[in-house]
This record gives sequence, C-alpha cells and structure tokens, in this order.
Amino acid sequence: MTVPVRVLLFEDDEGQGILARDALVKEGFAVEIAHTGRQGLERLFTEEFAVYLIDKQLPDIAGIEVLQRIRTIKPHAICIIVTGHGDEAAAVEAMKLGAADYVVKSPSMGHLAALPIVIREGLDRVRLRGEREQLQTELWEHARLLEERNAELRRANEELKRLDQLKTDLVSMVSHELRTPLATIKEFTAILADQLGGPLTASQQEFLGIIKGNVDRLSRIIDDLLDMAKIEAGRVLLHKGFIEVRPLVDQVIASMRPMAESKQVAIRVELPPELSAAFADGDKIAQVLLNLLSNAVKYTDGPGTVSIRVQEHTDTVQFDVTDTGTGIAREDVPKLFQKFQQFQRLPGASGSKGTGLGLAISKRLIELHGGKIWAASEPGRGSTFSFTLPKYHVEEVFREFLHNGIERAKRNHAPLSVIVFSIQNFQELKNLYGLEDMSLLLRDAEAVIREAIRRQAGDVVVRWQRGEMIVILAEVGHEAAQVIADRMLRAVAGREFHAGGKIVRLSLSTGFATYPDDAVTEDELLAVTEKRVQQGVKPRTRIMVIDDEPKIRRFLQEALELREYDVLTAANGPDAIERLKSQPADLILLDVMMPVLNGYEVYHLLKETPSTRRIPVIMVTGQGERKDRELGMDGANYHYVAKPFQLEDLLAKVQEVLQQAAAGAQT
Amino acid sequence: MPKRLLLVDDELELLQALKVRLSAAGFLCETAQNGQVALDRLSREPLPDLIVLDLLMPEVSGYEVSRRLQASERWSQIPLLVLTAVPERTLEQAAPLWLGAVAVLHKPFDSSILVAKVRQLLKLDPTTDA
Repeated sequence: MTVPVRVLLFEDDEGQGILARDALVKEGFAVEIAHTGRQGLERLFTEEFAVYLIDKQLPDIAGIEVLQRIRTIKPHAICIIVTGHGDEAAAVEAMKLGAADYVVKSPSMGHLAALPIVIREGLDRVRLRGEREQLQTELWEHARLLEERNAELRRANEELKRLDQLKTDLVSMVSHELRTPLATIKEFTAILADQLGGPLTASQQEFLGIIKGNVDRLSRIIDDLLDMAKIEAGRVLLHKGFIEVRPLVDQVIASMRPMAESKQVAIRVELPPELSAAFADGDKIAQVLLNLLSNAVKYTDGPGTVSIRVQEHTDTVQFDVTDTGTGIAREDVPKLFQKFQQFQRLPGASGSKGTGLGLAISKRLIELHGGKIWAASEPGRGSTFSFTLPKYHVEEVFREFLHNGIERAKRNHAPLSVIVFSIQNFQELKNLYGLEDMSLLLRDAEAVIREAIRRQAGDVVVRWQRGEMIVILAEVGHEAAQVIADRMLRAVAGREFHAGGKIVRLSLSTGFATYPDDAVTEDELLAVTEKRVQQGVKPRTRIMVIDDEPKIRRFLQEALELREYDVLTAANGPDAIERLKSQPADLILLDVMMPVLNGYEVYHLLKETPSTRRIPVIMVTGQGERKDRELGMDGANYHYVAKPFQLEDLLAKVQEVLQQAAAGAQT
Repeated sequence: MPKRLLLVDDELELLQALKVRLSAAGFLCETAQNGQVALDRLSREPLPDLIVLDLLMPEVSGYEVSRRLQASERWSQIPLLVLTAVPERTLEQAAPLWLGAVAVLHKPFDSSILVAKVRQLLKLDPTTDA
C-alpha cells in the first residue's frame, strides 16, 4: 500500500471543510484542515504536505498571501486555489503567483468531485516537471562533464605534444652533448691505438680495440635515437626520386662485405634481369636494407649464407633478406619491430649487440613509403626479413617532381615551366596498333624529346595512358618555354614513327605554363597547361616542293609559307625522296618539266617508295602536256595544275587535295 | 715546407687530440680555443693553409667565423673544414651560414677520414707525407 498523499486544506467554513475532506479522503488522500491562514502556515514548519488547497477567502490572511508565503517557504509545493463563483480573475492571478491550478466553488457543491482530479493532475504535472528537470539537470551535467573531459583531453594532448617536442629537443640536445665527449674519447683511443703516444703491448692493443668497438656502438645508438626521435616527431621528409635497385643493392652489399668475409658468411643476390626503377628515397631504403643485411650477417655464424632477393609483383617490389643463422624464438618474432626490443637470438648467435632501434626505424621508414615490413623465422634454420615498396604511380612521381620543382623555384626566385606534349590521336592509334606498339612508339618519342631538351635540366614524365609527355624545366621562363615547346614539336614532327610495321602520323599538340607568370600553385599550373594543350598548337601542314628551277622553288616556298604551311624543297626527285624519309610531308607539289628524271618518272618513284607512297601529289604541268596514256599515267590518282596558273588557283587546289586526303584518312 | 693548419674548437681536449693526430700526419698545427682567438690569429701572417672549425662555440661561434672568412677576400681563399656535433637537420637549416665550408665532418668522426679530408682539401697526394 502506498502512503496516502497528504493535503492541507485552508478553509474557514467548517461545513465546507468537512465536505471537502470527506470527498478527498474517499479518494485516498490524507487531509488536515486549517481554519485560518496563520494556523495553516504554522503547520508548515512542523509537517510535510504534498498539496495545499487554499480557500481564497480566509478570515485573517488573504488566500493569495498564504499562497505566496507557502511558495516562499516550500518552492516546490503544489498549491491549489479555491475561489468563489465569478472570481476567475483572482484564480488567474493566483496561477501567475505559482498556484498549480484552481477550483471554482459551485453553490451546488459540484466542485468537490473535481477536487481529487485537480489534485492528481497537479501531482502528475509536478512529477513530470520534476522528471523533466531531473533529465535536464542530468543532461547539463553530462554536457558539463563532456566539456570537462574535452578540456582535459586537450590539455593532455597539448601536454603530450609539448613533451614530444621536449623529447625531440632533448634527444637532439643530448645527442650533441654526448657526441662531443665521444669525439674526444674516440680520437684519443685512435691516437693510442696508432701508437702515437708510444709503443703498446699486444694486450693493450686488444683492450683499446674493445674501447673502440664500444665507442662506435655508443655513437650508433645516439644516431638511432636521434633518427627515432625525428621519425616520431614527424620530422623525417622523404626525398623521393627514381632509384635503380641494382646499384643500391650492390652499394649496401659492398659496405657489408668485409664483415661478412671475416665471418665466412657468403652474400648472395637474386635480382630479376629486368627491374623497373623504384620511386623512393634512396638513402632511406639503403638504410633499411643495410640494417636488415647487417643483422643477418651479425646473427649468422660462418660458414653461412645471407641472400638478398628482389621480386617485382603487380603493385609492389619486394625485398627479402634471408640468413642461415640461428633464428629467432617464435614468441619474439611479433616483437621484433618494437622499440628497444633487443634481439633474443637463439643460443649460438654471436656478434655485437644492436641498439634495439634499428628495426623499429626500418619499420617506420618503410611505412612512410607506404610499404610493409615483416619477418619470418625458423629456429635453428634462419630468418627472413622482408619489405615491400609500392610501385610508383606516374601521377605521384609527376606531382613529386612538380612540387619539388616549385619549392626550389620559390627558394631561388627562379621561374619554372611545365610543358605538356600530347599525341592527340594516341587513343585511335592505340586502338589500331595495340598498347605494346604504342608504348614502343612513346619510348621513341620520349627519346626525341629528351634529345630536344638536352641542354636544359628537366624532369620528363611520360603518361603512357594518355599519350602525353610532361617536361618540367627549372629556371626556364615564359619565352624560353615557348622556344623549347616549339623545338620539341618540330623534333617530333620531323621524325618518322613506326607502329605495326607502318609509318604512323602523329597529331601533336603542346601547351605550357610558367611559374610564376601563369600560376603559382601546382594545381593552377597544371590547369593552365591542360587548357593550352587542348586548344592545341596544330602542327603545320607540310608541303614538299619539287622543282629544278630555284626561282620557282623560292616563289612557291614564300607563297606557301605566307599561308602558314611548312615548306620543304628539293631540286629533283631522288633528293626529295631522301629528305622525305626524315621529314614526312602531307602533300607534294611536283614540277613535270625537269631534267634527268621528269615529273612523271619522279611520280612513279614516289609511289614505289614505301615512305612516300601515301602522300598526295599535285603535278604542275605545262599547257596541253597531259598525255596520261603515253606517259604511263593512265589511271594514276594524281591532281594537276596547269601552267601558267594563278597563285590563288594553286592554293585552292592545295587546300582541296589536303581536305580530300584528310577525309580519305578518316574513312 | 709543411702545411699550416689552424684548429679551432672550444673543447680543449679534443683540440689537443686533433693537434696530436694532425701533427703526426706531418702538418704544422696552431690551435685556437674560440672564434675570437681564431680571428685574432688570422690577422697575422703567415695565414694557415686550411682551417678546421667547430661550429658551436661560446661568444664568437663557428658560424660567425665562417661568415667573417667569407666576407674577406684573403680569408675566403682558405679551405674550411667544419667539425660539428650538431644533428644534420639543424645543420641544413643553418646551411646558408656556413656555405663557405668545403667539407663537413660529424662528431664523432674517424681520424683516418679527418686526415684524408685535410689532405684532399690541400690537394696533397694521399700517400706522401704533408
């Protein structure tokens, strides 16, 4: 059974008080009656009530006043005002002063039935409000705690950063402070060992050797500590470039060879015959490789073998360093790459102790490159340490080059130009001849371009997929870039390229942008370049003029060049064919009346030569000279212009034939 | 005529070691225990053929000495071998300050490398005595 809710009823009229009490008691309330305001208020201090039912008309203190006093003493008390009929205005005022509700007395006593309901509603409201307030309070509390927690985290984070910085500074400072006395110890040890201080006995020399070994070890530990601190502080930046794997491996092996030979450990190398260059920080990779190799040699007792194997996978290049040493206990393998984990090599291992940091450093360096490093070991048989480097993406390489280039340019206040060289019909050609032929073609084109820019220091990046070559030229300004772009275009346009055993015509376009003239950021610089490539500098149409008469040759050359054609000239057929081998033309203007070989004979020669067979020919004939049948030209597909001609007619003819040829090439 | 070297380092014991080592290699060695002493010595004839210079020294540092050497027409001709225990990275940042150096050795260095470097900078035959 629940405890009944206690109600204090302020009612001066005894009869009404009893009626109201009975109505409420019937509904399970416990009711006390106060006949005056003062009487009721006094009970407030000695007893607890949940609800105060206050008649507005009390003999001593007004009901409203009682309400206010109750609210002052017990702010959460539920007060309900009972007013006379027609006094709703007073009820509203009471509500404003904090009454939970009001009841209007009815002469028929009907309001008595309403009392329990109003009280319950009031209790419910208070309970709900209480719950809501509770919730709100809890919420605020949560928010406050969260904020506090956040602030704590921020503080902790800042503290950590500060400590980290402090640690790096400390390591850096300590390493300096340690190196200085170490240098003195090392120097005097060497002076003694070299007997500059007087002759030594054999055992004195041996002891000095031990000192020297430990000085060296100490200095390695300092180096490693500093490395580690730099890596952990995020201060190691990779200087990536193309590195050839083979020389790198050779160099690392060379530095390990003396130690390996003295221990009778053979070093074997397995490299695939063709290995693409890796894009990495060569010094860092050499450091990792040296770390793995020196561990392998150190923990292998001769006679034994250490091998380095490099394999190319689809997306990665994998390096394995395998030894025939004592191996590592199984439970220690996962801990190998943690800091300060001294190798617990199995019994039988010899050699000096490491620094406990080498592998942790190697792991960080490989991870900085986006690769993985791991170890496998079989106790008693040896261990293999492996790492992978992701193969480079052209875009990454290119970005790296460009980024470094711009940084350098900024530092040196020098310009930099990016020239894009695009084979616009690359996609079509690729569909026609296949990727393999096209990659050979691109390689040839790249060689031509490298030749064309040979005097400038530049990074060339080939985007195979797009048939594009990008050249980044340091210290090349706007005008120089224009000149070099033109030179590149001419060099490639003037060269024959083959695909599928055929001569291929490349539709070329270049575009360039210069830092800081065109843009100052990588993205903007590229955007400008791309836009210019797309607008394209259409390569000029080239026309070969074959005429024995120098005056006519010069006249035609000037006239055609004024119309933006590229013009080649030759005085006779064989010369023309020779020149066309290295500089293909789009059209040949051929004079008929020539000594030695006349135009018709040259025509046949042109058609018999593979490199000139497809070039359309316009014959320039004398009047009435067109006697095809007699000249063996029957059915020959040629065009002609008769002398004397108007220049405009000739040019119109040239255009017409070029358009036909272009249309023919497309079908 | 043996070549003259000026050795500058505030670590007196290391300075002594350098002197023993390089004298044994046949060089005529003078020492200075800080930058100021080195600069004072350089105001007198005969000038050294090479200077071995520590970077971090109190008062007049090796950086300052290097800067002063570069600024002087006569002194800038003297090959400068820098010795330092400063970590590489910090050194890179300070590079413009000692661009005059033709070689850098990190402490602790190998004395055989020190001697070889000195010989190389003086364009001496590595096999003969100085």
